Amino acid sequence: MQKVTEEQMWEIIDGEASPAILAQHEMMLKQDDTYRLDFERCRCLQNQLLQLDLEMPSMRFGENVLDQILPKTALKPDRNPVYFVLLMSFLTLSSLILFLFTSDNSKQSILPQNTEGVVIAFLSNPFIFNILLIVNVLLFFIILDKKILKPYFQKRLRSVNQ
Amino acid sequence: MKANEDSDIQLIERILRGETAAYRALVNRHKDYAFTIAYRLLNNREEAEEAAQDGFVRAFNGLANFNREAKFTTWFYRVVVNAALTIQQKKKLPTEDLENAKNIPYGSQVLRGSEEKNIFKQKEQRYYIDLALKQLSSDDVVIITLFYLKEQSLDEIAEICNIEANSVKVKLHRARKRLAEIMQLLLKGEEKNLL
Repeated sequence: MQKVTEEQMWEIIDGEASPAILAQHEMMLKQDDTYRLDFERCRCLQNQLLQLDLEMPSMRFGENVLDQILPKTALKPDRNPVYFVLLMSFLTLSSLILFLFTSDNSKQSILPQNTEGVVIAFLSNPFIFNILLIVNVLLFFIILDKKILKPYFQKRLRSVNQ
Repeated sequence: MKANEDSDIQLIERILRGETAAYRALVNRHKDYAFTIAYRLLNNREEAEEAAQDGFVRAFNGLANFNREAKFTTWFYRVVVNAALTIQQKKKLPTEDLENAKNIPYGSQVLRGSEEKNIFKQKEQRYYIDLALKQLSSDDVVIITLFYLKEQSLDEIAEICNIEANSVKVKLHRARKRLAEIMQLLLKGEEKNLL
């Protein structure tokens, strides 16, 4: 008589055994006490594994997950106006500088004569000009970092981690 | 999943459109399974929560790159398993000594009536199976847990475990064999009483 192996025993328990193995198994159950005990042991283990319940996380689990994710999405709308203001400041200052330094006599100035004189005098000061230039460059780098570099490297880091 | 509920893929599409409520639904749907997988690997509730949460966060961050033709849970459980294994590697978990396991005095309680006896028997069975699972390797635990959660096919389990599909059955068989051996070792002569 050919013996039923332990692997075939698990096939029987999983309901995947062939009729030939099942017939062999029935015969061995009747004739072999050791086999019967081994089979009973496997069947018992199967029942115990099937009875394993799902583990429940804490009640706060879902909220904790959302807390970790929502700040990112919630902050997006708040940050957008900041970026908008920064960008607009940058554009306004750049335009003003370009306008003042490229304007010649043939062009009609949009500023009143006195105001234009004050602004030109103010911007003609090398110290003020350098400050404005540095601020603009800094704004440019901040926007470049936040909008392009940081998302790019975060994405790369995530793909490496996964 | 109820008939009127969105599928995972529909929920993912809603999340990508910016609906946070959809993410809440996805978390609620899969949190128990994610936590169970992590808990079986880590045997510690706090660490399992951390791993499962980390899995959800990683999944959320990677949703845009998720291939929507694939099954979400196959991909997601893999993320959770990786998150749990990362925590496990950080803190090499000491496994409970088999001899310490014998501290539970089998049959030492005074039992009154068959119902009480059954409850005790169930609790004891559960205790020993949990203990035996703790002695298995991470690979064995993941395969057994996924197989008995009955959510994934063998092919999907293979994908989660990053192994060949045809070796899942072999690995499952070996894992169950090892589990049976550990159970035998734990129970020794008392096994018949628990059968």
